[in-house]
Amino acid sequence: MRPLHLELCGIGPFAGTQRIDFASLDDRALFLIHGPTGQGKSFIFDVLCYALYADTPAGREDNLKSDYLSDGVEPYIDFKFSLGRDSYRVRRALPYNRPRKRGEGVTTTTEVQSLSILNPDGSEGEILADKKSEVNNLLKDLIGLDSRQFRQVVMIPQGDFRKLLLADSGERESLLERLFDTSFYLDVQDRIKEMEDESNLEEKSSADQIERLKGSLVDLWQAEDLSPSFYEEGALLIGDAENELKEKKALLSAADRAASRARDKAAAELAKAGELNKHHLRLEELKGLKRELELSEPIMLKLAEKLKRDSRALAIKDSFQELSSARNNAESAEDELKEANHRLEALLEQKKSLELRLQQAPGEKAHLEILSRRIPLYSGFRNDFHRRLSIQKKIDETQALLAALDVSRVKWQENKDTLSRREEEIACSLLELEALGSRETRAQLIHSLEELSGLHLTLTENEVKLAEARRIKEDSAGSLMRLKSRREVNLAGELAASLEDEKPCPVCGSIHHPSPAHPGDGSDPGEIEAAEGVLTEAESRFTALQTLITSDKKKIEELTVKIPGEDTGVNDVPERIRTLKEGLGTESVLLVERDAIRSVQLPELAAESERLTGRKEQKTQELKNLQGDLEEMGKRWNAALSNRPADDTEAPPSLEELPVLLGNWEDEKLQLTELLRLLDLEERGISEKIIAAETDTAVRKGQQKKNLENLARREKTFTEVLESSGFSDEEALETALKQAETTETDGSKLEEWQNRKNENVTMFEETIRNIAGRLRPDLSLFEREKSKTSELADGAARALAAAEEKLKKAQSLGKELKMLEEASREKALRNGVIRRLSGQLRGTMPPKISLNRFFLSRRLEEVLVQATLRLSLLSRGRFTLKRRDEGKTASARAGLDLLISDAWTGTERPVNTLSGGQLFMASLSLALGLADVVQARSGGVRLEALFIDEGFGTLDDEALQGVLQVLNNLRENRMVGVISHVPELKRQIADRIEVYRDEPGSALRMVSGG
Amino acid sequence: MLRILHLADLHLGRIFHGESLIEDQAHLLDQLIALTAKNPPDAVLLSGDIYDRALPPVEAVKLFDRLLSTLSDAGITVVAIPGNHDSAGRMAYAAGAWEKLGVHIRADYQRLDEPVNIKSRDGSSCDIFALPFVELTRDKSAFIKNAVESMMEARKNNAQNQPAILMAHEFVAGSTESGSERLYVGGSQSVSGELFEGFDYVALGHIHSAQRAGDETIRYAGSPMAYAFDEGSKEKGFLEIILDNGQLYPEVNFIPLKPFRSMEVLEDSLDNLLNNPDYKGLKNSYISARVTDPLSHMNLIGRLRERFPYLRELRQTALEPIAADNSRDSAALETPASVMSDFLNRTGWEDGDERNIAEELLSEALNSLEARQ
Repeated sequence: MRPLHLELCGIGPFAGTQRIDFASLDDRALFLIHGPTGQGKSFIFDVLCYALYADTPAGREDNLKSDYLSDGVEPYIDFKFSLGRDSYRVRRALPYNRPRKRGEGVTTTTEVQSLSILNPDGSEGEILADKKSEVNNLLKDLIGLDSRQFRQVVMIPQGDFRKLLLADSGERESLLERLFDTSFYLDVQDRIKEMEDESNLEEKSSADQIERLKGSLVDLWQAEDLSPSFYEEGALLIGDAENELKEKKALLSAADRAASRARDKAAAELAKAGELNKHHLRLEELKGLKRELELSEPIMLKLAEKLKRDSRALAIKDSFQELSSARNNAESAEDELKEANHRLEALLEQKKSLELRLQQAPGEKAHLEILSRRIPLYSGFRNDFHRRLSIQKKIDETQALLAALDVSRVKWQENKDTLSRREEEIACSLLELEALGSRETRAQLIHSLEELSGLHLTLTENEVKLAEARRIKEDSAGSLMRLKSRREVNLAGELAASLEDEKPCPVCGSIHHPSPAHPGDGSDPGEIEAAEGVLTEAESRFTALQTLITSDKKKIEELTVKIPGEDTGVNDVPERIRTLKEGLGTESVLLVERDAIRSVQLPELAAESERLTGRKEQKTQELKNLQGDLEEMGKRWNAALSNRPADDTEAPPSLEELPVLLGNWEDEKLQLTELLRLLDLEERGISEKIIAAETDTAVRKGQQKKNLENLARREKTFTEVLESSGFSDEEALETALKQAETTETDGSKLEEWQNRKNENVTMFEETIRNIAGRLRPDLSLFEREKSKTSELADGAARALAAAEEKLKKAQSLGKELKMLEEASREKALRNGVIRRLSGQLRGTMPPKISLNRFFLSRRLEEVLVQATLRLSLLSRGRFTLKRRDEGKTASARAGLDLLISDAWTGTERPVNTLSGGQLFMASLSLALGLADVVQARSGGVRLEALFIDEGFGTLDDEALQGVLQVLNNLRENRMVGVISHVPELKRQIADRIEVYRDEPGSALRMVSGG
Repeated sequence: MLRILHLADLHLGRIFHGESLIEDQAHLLDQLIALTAKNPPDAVLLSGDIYDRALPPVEAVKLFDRLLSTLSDAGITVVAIPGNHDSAGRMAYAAGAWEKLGVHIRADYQRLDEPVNIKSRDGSSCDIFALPFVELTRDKSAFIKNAVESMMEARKNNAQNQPAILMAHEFVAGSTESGSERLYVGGSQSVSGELFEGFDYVALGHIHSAQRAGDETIRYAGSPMAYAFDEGSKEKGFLEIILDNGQLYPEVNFIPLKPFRSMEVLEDSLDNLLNNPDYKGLKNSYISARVTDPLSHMNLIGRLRERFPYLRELRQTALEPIAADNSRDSAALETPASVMSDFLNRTGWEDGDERNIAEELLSEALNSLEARQ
């Protein structure tokens, strides 16, 4: 978790809005939070914790709201941070008193929380949660640490981290438990305990089972009265007992066989007696049956009679049926004939009424005729009304257009006049200008004037130069003279130098030389020559200039003559030039304008005039055409009206109504046409139908005649047959036929009776034979014998079965017992192991170190490895942190006791023997080691920021430098914040957050160095 | 011809492994004073870190007082600037009065373009421009650039066109720290040597070993004595600069100073350290002892201090933790199974049937727990 931006208002000592932009610090920044004691440096961290976990630090359980907050200002914390590649924003607003919107007084708001994603460009993205519990849970998941872990690991707090160092092992164990998740190993402890419990239960139940089995076996033997030697205390002689049981069984088996045999014999005797008895009974039965049969003989005779009659009736059945059907046919044919006649009559009626109808037809036909002539007459004028209207409109438009054209013409004339005037003006101006001469002449004049001006200038220059040259000449002459005189002086000096007192001077001859000349600065001949040269040059220059001037003046004169006008003076010329040039310019402009008028504007006007004229002609013509059309149409209409047919009595229509009327007439025409067509069809249809019906009737008549003939024939035949069959009339025949329906069953009855009678006789004879003269036996004796022997046999069998069962049971119990005892022995070893393991894991068995503690000691070891690296650095190799591995208490044995190893003395001693500054270094090292390991072990938790609160005041300068070195190395890829009021640190750390007093309360500002 | 001495990083009052070095520092300054007496220079430049702390101990203040007074009495011009260790404000105490005595303490940024002019007896002169340590709160490079520009302006206006020397106390990019310098975090601490172009010589302070900072004429004098055992073997002293009109570059010579006590690092077994006669001569030296024995000994420090009364650092190199990443590896290798195996070892399960059963049980438990997850 790396902080990006913190904004708060009205929280803790900060009354107003404060902002810290962590993002402006380097990713690996080491920065200092400083300020006077008590202003709120550590509080900043509390704010971060509240932002992430909504928990308040100890002592501020009431809310974080600042005491300096004014009413109506919302206190809030707005914290933006990044986790890996993602950025988030969490905002928590605390409840406060806000003035009511309506009415007097204040209302207290509720806490508002929100957590949202930040987009890469810094804008707020999706809101992830807005309820306190959701926000808290989500943040905890994202960061990977809970509030306690976070406080312990990310913030190395004043005094608190010494706890870890100075605590006793029990406290240290609980501290470590909170930081490292030992739940998995606790689960292992529990799971093994479960397994132990299970195996204990199993063991117990197995023992119980063995006891039970033994008990069952003993019961069994006791029941059998087996000798007690088979169950001696502690030993069961199962094999011997089984043998005894076997013997018993064999005896019972023999007894069983004997009893069975006796039983079987008695049963056989009984069976024989039973047979004889049966035969006797049967004989009686048969006698009874015979009597029955004899009783029913008369009925059977009658039945035979009936059967005969039936056959007679059946013989003529078919013919009878044929006759009946012929009678039916004739009847139905008669009915149908009647119907056909009815139909014919109906059709004839229809035709009559249709003919009446047709008499009306001619009137309608005539109307149809009229319509047929009217419609074509008028159809051509259907659209005339509208066309006339549109033509009129066009006429109006054209007239308007013509008026507009006239107006345009007037305007055009105005333009033309304006242009002509302008042309005249220009001509006048040009003439004026030309008065001064043609353009060329004037140009020429300007040229000459300019030349003259130039010459004036040259002359002036040369005159100046001449003056200069004169001066130079005079100067050089002067110089030369001076040089020459100096030379003379020199010579004099040279001479004077060679003068000696009392010797005459070669120049003046005197002997005394009171003030002889000095050699002084010599001028040598070279100098003089040079000066002479200079003079010559100056003189020639002077002369040359003079000549030049003369020629200039001459040139000016010549030129002046050539130029007309008086103003040729030096001062006049420029003015003249200027005036002339202006004139030329104006002239050019005017010429251009005149050209434009002539070559562009006037031709344009001419063209326009043509266009106007043309258009007017065109439009006039159009108007004429339109008006002609209108006249035409009127004429045609009148012609049509006069062509109306004479028999058309309706009034002539108006053009406006015409389209509608034409429509109506056309519809009417269609209707009439249709009607006439339908009537015609109907007429034809009826005629056809009548013809068909007449044909049908005729056919049926013929048919009927034939049917009746057929019927008469049949009647005759049948009467004969009936007589010969012995029936009196048809009715009698019908009755007989009805009765004959049961003829088959009756036949069977008779047959059966006959058969039974026969059978009876046969069986009677047989039974007599079987009895063979014997008497009927007394069955009860035999039965008694049989049941006695059966009982005995059953008893024997039961005894045998019981013995067998007992033997089997004894055998199976014996086997089971053996197996159980063996298994129990095997398990014993495993159970022992489980118990021991379970006890050791839970710390109840020696060496009494629970798995939990063991695990924590490993973690502590890791922490110490990391811590020792730093402590060694800080103490320049003197101190290392160690664990103690043996001791009296469980936690000591687990290796949670800490020792300091001092290389200087070669001894180990408890941690609380260190001095204040050494203690700081040790606890700082430990806390940093802890942070490293928590991060490595929390898989995915990345501590991209770390805070260290105070403690630096206990260090001397050397130690402080050492600690600063360690902190600097901490940075790797994280941001480290140091909270301290030590002034030296202010000078050595460039990036700072300063907490300062800002009545009321405090304020923050960020300072960046370099 | 001008002869100027360039010193820096005196760090008067420094504590070395818990003990004050004031005696050694006094010894150095005595040597310096003797040298200046024998052959007086035209000026002495002190390029910063005069004191070791913003509030130096009394002896340090007294020592500095003695130095300045002695040099001033001898008529030698002194120019001093504060470094990052000094409190500029405190150093400037009585600067006005000192100036009248030829000691120029330039501790603020008000007179950057006013050089101190040094004249030699034979008439040659040069200008010394003084730039105190630029505090962290400023944009160093920009500030220095402006300062140098104003100094150059001043030089131009001065028609004399004499050589100019700049004193500064900064970390110039390209130089190598020697480890006893103070740590600074954040901000931009290094400046480019190009900023100092235009001066005939730049007398730098801040880095404790004498070296060139890129150019021949941009030099650190180094501290006059070693302040860490790592520097103990190097020669320490100061620089002598000779400016001659006829030469293009100044001549720079290193003048060594003898330390009061040498600094030695001894790495050997305890036995040798205590008994080897080779070490006899080091009775009075500052010693850092690195004992190579793999076992710890009782009262090491006591026994060693008997032979080496000035033992200042003691380490048992064989016992020190190596900052290897084996902790990371062990983190990776730890599995629940390995933890359980270690536990079994710790609780006394020997190899055999029982151990096998125990391991079976544990792996069964682990599996069922993992399945539950």
